[in-house]
Amino acid sequence: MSDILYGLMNALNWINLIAALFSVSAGILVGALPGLSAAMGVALLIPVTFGMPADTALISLAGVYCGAVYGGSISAILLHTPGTSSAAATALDGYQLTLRGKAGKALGTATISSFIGGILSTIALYLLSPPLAKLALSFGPAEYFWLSIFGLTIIAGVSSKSILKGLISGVVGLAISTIGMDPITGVPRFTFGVRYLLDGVPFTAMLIGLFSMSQVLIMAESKMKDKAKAKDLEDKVMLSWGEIKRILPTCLRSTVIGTVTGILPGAGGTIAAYMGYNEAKRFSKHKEEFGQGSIEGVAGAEAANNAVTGGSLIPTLTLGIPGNSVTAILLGGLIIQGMRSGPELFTSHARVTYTFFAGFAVVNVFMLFVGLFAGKYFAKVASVKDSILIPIVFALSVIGSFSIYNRMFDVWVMFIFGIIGYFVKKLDLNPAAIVLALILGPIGESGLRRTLILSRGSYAPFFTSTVSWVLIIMSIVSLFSPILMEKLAEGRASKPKAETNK
Amino acid sequence: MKTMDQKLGWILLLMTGGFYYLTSQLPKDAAFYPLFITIILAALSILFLIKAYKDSNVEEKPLFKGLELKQLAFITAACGGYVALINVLGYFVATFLYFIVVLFGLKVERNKLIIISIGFCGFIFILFKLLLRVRLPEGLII
Repeated sequence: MSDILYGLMNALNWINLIAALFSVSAGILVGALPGLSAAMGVALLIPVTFGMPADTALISLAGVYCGAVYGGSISAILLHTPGTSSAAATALDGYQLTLRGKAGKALGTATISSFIGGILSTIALYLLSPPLAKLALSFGPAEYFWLSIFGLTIIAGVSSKSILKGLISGVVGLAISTIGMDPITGVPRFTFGVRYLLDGVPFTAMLIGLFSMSQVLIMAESKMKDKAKAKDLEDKVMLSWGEIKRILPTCLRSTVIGTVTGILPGAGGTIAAYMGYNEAKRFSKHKEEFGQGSIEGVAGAEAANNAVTGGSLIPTLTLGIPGNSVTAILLGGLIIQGMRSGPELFTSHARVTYTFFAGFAVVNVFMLFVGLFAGKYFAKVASVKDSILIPIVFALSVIGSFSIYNRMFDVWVMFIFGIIGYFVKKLDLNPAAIVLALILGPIGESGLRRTLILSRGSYAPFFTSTVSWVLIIMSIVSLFSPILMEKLAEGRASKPKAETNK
Repeated sequence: MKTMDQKLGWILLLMTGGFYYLTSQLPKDAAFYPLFITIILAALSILFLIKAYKDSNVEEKPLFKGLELKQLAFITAACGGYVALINVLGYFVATFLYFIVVLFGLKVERNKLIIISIGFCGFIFILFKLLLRVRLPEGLII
C-alpha cells in the first residue's frame, strides 16, 4: 500500500507533471497527423527519455501513447482522415457530426469518452497486474517457452489479414532475434564479424526503421497532395449533463471491451474501436442516428480504443508479452531503464512501477483538459503536407536511432530496416508480429534450451505442468480461432441469403 | 505470370535456404534454436507457396497502384545520402542540406523551404542540445 501511495505522490511531483503535460501534447500532435502512429511517436521519444529518471521516462512514454491514441480522433472527426488506424471507427459518426455543424460536440464526446476509457483501464492496470505478476512467479523455463509460443500465435492470428503471413512475419522476427551471441554458449551467431551485432540487432533502431522510416517511404510513394483543412468550430466542445448521461453506459461497456481486447496480445485498438462501435449501436435507443452522426457511436469507438492503452500494459508489464506494437516499444524503454517485466516490477521496482501507474492516470487527466481546451488547434496542424512531414520524421528518426548508443551503425540499421519495413507493409506482412517475435524469441530460446539442459535432453518437462497445458491449449485455440471466426461469419452471411431465396 | 504471393513464397524459401546454410556453419549447440526456426520457416513457406499457387486465379489487389517511383527513389536516395554525409558534415549542416534538397525536390515554395529548414534545425538545437543534452552525430567539419 505504501508503494501505491508513494507512486501517487511521486507522479504529482512537478517534473513528472510537466513531463506528462508535454508528452500528452506531443502524443496528440503525432496522433492527429495522419500517417504518424502511436508506435512511431513512442519509438522516437525513447532516446529523449534516455537521460531522464525511470519514472519520468515511463510517464513520458505513456503520455505519448495515450495522447496519440486520442489524437487520432481529432483528424478523424474534423478532416474525415483518421490520424491513427484505431480512430477509423470514430470517423464513421464523428465526421457526420462535423458535416451537420456539430464538430465541437463530436470532439467533446471523443475527449470525454477517451478519458473515461483511459482512466478506467488504469484502474484495471492497478487491480490485475500484481496478481498476474505473482502467477508469473510459478513459471519455470518450460512455461516461459510455451508463453512465448502463445504470444506469437495470438499476435500472428489476430492482427494479420492472412494467418500464414502473420505466422511467417513472427518466424522471420524469431530468426532476426537469433543474431548475436548465443545466450547459453556465448558463440557469436550471424554477426559476420560485426562487433556491434554481438548484443543482437539494435532493438530501438530497428523499431524506428520498421515503424517510422517505412512510413516516410509510404508517404513518398504517392503524389503530394494538399490535405483538407479543418474549419472553425460552430458549436461548443463541452457536453451537457444530459449528453454525458447518454454516453456514459456506452463508455462503460466500451471500456470493458477495450481493456479485455488490450490484454489479448495482438488485438489492439482498431479491433476494440470497431467492437465498441458495434456494441454501442446494438444497445442504443437511437440506432437510426448511427452512420448519420451519433455521439454514442463516437463514444463507443473512442472509449474502447483508449481503454486498450491500460489493458495492453497488463501482459506487457507482468508477463513480458506486449499487447501491441506500441507496448512492445514501451517494453524496450523499460529495458533501457534497467527494468524487466515480471514480478520484480512489483517488488524491487515497485515504487517506479506505481509512479508509472499513477502517472498513467495523470496523463489521462491532462489528455482531458488539453483535448477539451486545445483539441481544435491540433486539427490545424493535421493538415501539414506530407512533403514537409517526410524530412521532419526522417531527421527525428536519425536522432532517435543514434542517441541510444551514440553510434552511426544504429542509424544505418534504422535505414535498412526502414526499407525492409516498407516492403513488409506493402506485402501485407505484419511488422508488429516481427517486433513481438524479437522480444519473445530470446525468452523462448532460453526456456527451450534451459529445460532441455535441466532434463538432460528429455522433452517430457514441456508437458508436465498444468500451466504448460493451459498455454498449449490457448496457443492452439488462438491459432485456429481466426479460421473458426471466418467460417462463423461466412455461415451468418449465407443464412439471410438462403432465407431470401426461399 | 507469377502473382506477388508466389514471388514472395519463392523469396521466403530462398531466405530459408540461406538461413539454413548459415546455421549449418555454427557449432551444434549454438545451431539448435536457429535450426528449429529454419524448420518452421521452411514449413510455413512451403504452405504459403502451395496456397499462392492454389489461389493464382483469384484477382490480386495491385500493390504499387499510383506509385510515384521517381519520387520514392529520390527520397530513398536523399535519406541514404543524408545518413552518409552526417559523419562528414555533422548533424546540423547535413540536416539543413537534407531539408533543402528534399523540400526543393518535393516542390515546396522557396520561402517556406528556408523557414522550415532553419526552424527545424533551431528546434532540434534548443530541444536536444540545450534542454535534453542528448548527444547528436558529429562530423569532420562540425
